[in-house]
Amino acid sequence: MENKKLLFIPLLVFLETLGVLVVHESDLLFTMQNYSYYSSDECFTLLAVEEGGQISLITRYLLQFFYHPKIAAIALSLVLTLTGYASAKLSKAEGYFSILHYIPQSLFVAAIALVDIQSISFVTIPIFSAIIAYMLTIWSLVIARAKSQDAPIIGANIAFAASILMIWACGIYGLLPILCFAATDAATKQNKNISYVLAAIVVAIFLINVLGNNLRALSPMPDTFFSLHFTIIVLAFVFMIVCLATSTIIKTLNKERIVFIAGMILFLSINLVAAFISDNNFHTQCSINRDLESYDFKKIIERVDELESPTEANIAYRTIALDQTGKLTKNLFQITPNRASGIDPYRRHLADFCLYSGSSNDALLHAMNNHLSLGYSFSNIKTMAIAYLLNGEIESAKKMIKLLSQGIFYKDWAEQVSAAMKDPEVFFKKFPQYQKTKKGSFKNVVFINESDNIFEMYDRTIPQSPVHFERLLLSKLYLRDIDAFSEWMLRMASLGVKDYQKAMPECFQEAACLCALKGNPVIINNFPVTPQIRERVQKFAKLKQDGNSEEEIAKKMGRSYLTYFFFAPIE
Amino acid sequence: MRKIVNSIFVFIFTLTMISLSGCSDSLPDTYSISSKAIDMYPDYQGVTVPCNIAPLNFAVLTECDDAVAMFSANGKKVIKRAQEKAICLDKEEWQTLISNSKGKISVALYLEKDSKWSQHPSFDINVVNDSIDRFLTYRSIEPLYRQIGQMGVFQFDLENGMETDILDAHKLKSANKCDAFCMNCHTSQKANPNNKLLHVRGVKSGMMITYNGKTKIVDAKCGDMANGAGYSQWHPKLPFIAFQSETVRQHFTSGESTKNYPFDIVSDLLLYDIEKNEVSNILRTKNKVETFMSWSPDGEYLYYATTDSIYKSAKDVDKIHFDIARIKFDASTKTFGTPEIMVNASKSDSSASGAKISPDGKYMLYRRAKYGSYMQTAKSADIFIMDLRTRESHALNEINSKDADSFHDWSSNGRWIMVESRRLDGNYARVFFAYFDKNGVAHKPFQLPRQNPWYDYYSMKCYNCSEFSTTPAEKQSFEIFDFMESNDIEKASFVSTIDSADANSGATKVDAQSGASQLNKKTKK
Repeated sequence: MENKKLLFIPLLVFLETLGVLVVHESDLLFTMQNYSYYSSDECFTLLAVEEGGQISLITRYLLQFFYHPKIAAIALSLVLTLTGYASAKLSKAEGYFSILHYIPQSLFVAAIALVDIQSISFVTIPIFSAIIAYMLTIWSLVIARAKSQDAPIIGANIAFAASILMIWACGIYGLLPILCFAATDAATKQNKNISYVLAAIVVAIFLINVLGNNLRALSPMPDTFFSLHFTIIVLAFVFMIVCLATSTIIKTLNKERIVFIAGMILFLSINLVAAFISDNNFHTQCSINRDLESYDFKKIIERVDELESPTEANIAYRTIALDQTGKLTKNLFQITPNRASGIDPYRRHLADFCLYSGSSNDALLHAMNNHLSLGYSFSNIKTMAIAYLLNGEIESAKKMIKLLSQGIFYKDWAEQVSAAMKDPEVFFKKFPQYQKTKKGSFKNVVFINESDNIFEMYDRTIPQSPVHFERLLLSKLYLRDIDAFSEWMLRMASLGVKDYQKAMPECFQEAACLCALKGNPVIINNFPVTPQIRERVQKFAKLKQDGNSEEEIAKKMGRSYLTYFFFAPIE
Repeated sequence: MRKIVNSIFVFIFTLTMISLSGCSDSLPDTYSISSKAIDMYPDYQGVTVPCNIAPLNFAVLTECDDAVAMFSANGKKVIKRAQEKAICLDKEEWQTLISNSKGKISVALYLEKDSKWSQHPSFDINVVNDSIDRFLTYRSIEPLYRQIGQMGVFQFDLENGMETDILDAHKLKSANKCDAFCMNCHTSQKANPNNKLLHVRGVKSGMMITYNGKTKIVDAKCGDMANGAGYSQWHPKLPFIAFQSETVRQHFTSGESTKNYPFDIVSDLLLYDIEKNEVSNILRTKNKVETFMSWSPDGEYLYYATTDSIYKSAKDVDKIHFDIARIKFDASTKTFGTPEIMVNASKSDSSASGAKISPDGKYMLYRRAKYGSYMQTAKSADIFIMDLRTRESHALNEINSKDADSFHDWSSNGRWIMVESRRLDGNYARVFFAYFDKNGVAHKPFQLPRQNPWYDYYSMKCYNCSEFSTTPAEKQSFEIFDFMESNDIEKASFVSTIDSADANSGATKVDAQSGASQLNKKTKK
């Protein structure tokens, strides 16, 4: 690439990658690190290292830097682009032809963009491991080629050594340096015999390892054989090898501009298509994860309210946020809480939901289940640290805090908690969001976990405080059991737990009207139901009678408990 | 470019040479004296250890920048500098100390903080000549779980501090072998410890039995059994395995310190004859639960926990109280006698379970808690001992803690007691060993010594179903998996007492009073 004008190619590639990773995927990158865990201690490194290479451990370490996703994404885009540039330089792909060497980069970015809630815990490490292996391959070839110019045997041996080291470090990816070296030798028809022999030795060593059971996995991608991500990664490596091996042939085609335009279209389309076909709900969830990290509950509500059809996880975090901001009774039914779309078979949100709903033991159970199904993660360990603290189990909390402080970017949080945990007053002043959780915590409730419905969890409690009573009433409304709602309202009033005589949440007022419509006027007679609500119920009944659909009614009156009661699906 | 490459080589070479050169450990030249005892993990201060134990490596938890320990044994000194705040001896150094110890190793500790060294109170480790069984097998699981996943059965070599996998679900999963595996109970026969048993549920489910050098997988669910085989115990000498067939459930709590209660809805005791591949009844009762059995060392009695408080609802969990009973076994006829209550815990509204008889037959260890039989999560669980000569029981306070002390075992010489305990943090069970001297007195227990002491400190797993073994497991994860894949399961036959009225149903004839089975020879596949 002698023509400096053509430096616009790597620059364009860098900016485009940056755009996708920073603008569109930065919350996803944050979540990827949040859902993974790194510790240098043996009991975790043993678990982190998959059969097939140590690379997953290195990947876990580097993944931590996505705690600051924008900075890390800039670094990743830069290194990827430089690697593409080095790849082009390596195979002397001059001029516009060099665009082909950036296609693997595009495919890797696409693999990241296509991560979804079901795959995130299984493909994150393999994708970044593949990216690291790609970079290691190209840069080891750069070193090998630098030597091979005047000492071909030394150059081949460097590629050979890189392969052997990478077999240990990266499993099957270890075959790449020497195979690529041999492929480029074959393309240029130079010194190919020595590289062929060394490549054959590496393949033999690899196979002996595999057959000898020392290296069980052929790929550091367990769980993901034949998955979309695996296919994309394989394509990236195929592209890399083909580009390295065929640059000299492509050059003879004399169709530089056509190749460039085709390459550019391919590069852009792979990235952009992948970025824009991704799941909006999942991306919102990723953003919520960042909001939760900074305890920005208002933002969480805004995000979920903007969604057309939120997932169960989205709704769970909205419920947490409503609870934290004191808007639970007011706003819960403004969206239909049980019409969740998108299925997360692992339901990792349950740990956070239980924590913030005052059931710290449940939070621990779900966090541990998440660990079993999805591997250790910073987010779960953090949940566990708080759950143990709220339970008063200081030694276990300390253990979690120590585990968090092993991570580069959770150290600060761990130190803050560690300093504050000695005095509950200081702790709750520093972390007021957990004060509410503590006040609403369940005690002495024994149950069999038959249902994990987030609202039915509110129904489990033996109410001990206004928080519990209100949650219990909400669960009755959620279950559309307005008779039970009426019963508990009266019981609450007789116990003097909470005074609703001056004002009552709108959803309770609507429920009171519904009770009256069903022939049970005791609530409407004993609690304040405003004329506006009475009117609203009448108007709703009229509209419904006239055959208006849910959407039509919602358009005219907005959403409320009435919409939920009459239109939400019955589970 | 060539210069850069050469520079990299020189840099790597220099680093390698520096790291290989090392430096010897020494005590600080100057230091102050501090009266503050050091916080360490595991806490080995004043413990009693066997002569064949692996090095007692420990981590320093007291805030410091550096640490040095000096071990002294009858004039022989070993000085060790901490690495990653862990004081780790190699096996040779430890062996030298042990062989010179004459019963005691003293440890002096020096800490550096802000470039100032201080010497802290030293402590002793007592060494006795009674050796401990070389191997401990255990299951590694999360403190709470509803799913299987990264579960594993492991074997720890107590002489060299090394852990090896027997069946590790994570290892199999990461090698793309299988998704999940459930397993438990790796046990050996006392008289012939090469005879081993492992329960597996996954690719194939059953008891994987190695007997007289041959391995087979057996599905013991046969006849009218509702469930397969669960917790099992080898007869000490004969080719029999007693097992329970149970339906186990867990209760979870929302805010209590005891977070879950495992319990059996139903559980019966059965006997598997390895040579005949036959299952027969020991105790099949409708209104009782029988669980956690073990044999007396002579094989003449089977001890077990029993209750007639059958589970009805979650609210009643704390009303399920177990007693310990024993039942005489006639090996010649494979029949059992009448149950005899040994610990009547239910009388005092508490619960007893997990009887284990000492190899000399003089003592019975068991666990006791407010309710239940599993007890590994029960804060109230403690280890008790009964002198079988006088039938007097007492809590082994030298071993017990404020938290759950549950699963336990005797070493083959009866001088060491193993106990799983959640004493360190209330949640993560760790294994402790206590010396039980000839006078029947237990000494301060010591925690299982890992080569890397931080391992158990950070590990989020619990030790579970731990058991001593004098011989290593024959197979490891991949071999076991390959064996399971390539071998068919043997279906056991059911040998049952069938009275005339129940001839078609295969129902078991049991003693109405005791629930004990009476055997005759009719085989039902």
